[in-house]
Amino acid sequence: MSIIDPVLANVQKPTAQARGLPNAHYTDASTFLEERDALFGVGWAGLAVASDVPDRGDAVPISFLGIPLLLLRGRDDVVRVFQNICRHRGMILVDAPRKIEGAIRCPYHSWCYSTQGKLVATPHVGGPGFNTHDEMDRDTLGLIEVRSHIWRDIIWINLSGQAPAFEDAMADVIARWAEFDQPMYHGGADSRFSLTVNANWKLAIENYCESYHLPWVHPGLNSYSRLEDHYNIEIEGASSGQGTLVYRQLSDDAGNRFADFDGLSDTWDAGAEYLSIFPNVLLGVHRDHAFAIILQPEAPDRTVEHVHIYYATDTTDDTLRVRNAGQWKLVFEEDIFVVEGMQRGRNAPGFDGGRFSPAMDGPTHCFHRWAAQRLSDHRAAE
Amino acid sequence: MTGDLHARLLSAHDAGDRGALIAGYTTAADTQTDVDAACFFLTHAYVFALEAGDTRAETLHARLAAEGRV
Repeated sequence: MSIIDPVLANVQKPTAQARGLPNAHYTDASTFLEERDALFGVGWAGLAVASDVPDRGDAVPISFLGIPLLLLRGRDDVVRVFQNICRHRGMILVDAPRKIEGAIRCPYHSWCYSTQGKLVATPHVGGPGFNTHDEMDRDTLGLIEVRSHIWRDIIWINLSGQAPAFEDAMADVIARWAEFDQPMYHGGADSRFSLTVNANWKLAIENYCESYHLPWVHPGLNSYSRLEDHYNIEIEGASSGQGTLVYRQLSDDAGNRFADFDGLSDTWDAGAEYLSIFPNVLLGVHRDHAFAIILQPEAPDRTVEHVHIYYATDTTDDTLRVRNAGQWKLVFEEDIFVVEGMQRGRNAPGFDGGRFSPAMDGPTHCFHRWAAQRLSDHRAAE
Repeated sequence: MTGDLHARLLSAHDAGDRGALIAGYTTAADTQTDVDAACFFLTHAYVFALEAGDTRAETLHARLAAEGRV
């Protein structure tokens, strides 16, 4: 029989009565580690985008919640994620992004791995000049692969290896945006940027998924996108966010706009939606572009936001594309002071996690409910 | 190994010049009279060829295989 944590039980009350997660979930190193397993490891989390490794042999090391991972596009053009360590003595294999020309050679004793993760050479393992040993079965000593799946260019990973298939775990989200399940193209170097925020990763999720703050934090939207033009989205156990009914396309002086995605229904003429996919991916879709933000938690109070913008066509107008990226960057930068302010607020002793507006904070509470449930399940399993 | 070859290999290591490392270690192997010593250097040449995706890896592998070393 498991004991119900009263704090988590408070989080799981109806929105009007619930409290948010307490301070420790934003400030405490041991809770940060617990969340690594309970909130990230059990299910599917965003790691990077496939566009980070566009060519065969491209390798990018990523420290994800302290875990050394290696993103690698193999000679076979398949993108895989491995633990970035040698099976010999656990040495880090790749310490900076680079092209693997042939094999990955461990810099310690030179064990070599193919770009598909297979162990292909174990120099001197049987003594000087003897490169095999009966007890060293190379077929069982390949790089440790992390289960991964690509959807909307994002490389999703399941650290535990035990989650339901991605298509099942995310079925409701995939179905909601089925119309956008079509080719999209990364805008390139000027359509990717990273923002470092001195705040817990959850605060970025919480801020992104609600529209309540828009008129106050993004006053530039008030002229055409009023609060009442937005609606809440809650997909229990997977995602929450908001939609707008008055998306206005960017255009230049000549009236040129980005091309639309193919075959969209009228819903998207002036509609756009923004979803936080739990735990750490923020997505947005519009008729003519989409974006993804992957949150990379580095510490309880530090998160890097990696932003990528996509279009319906491989080529887009340079000026318009740069303007679009600039507009979004401004919006995301406007959010930094609130997530950092809430982070500093979590140092107030006795803060009870705060309250949620029953009318406006449903998506935020949806995220807290998900986190509390996952944490309860994790603690019950221990 | 001659002093000159040793110096060239050190220089290649410093520069990360895999082509020179493959050539240098192959030369070192070729100048050995003892098969174990030769295979030691061939191993190095082979590993750097593998890392570089250099076509010489195939020949080096065959030479090591002929001695039962891979």
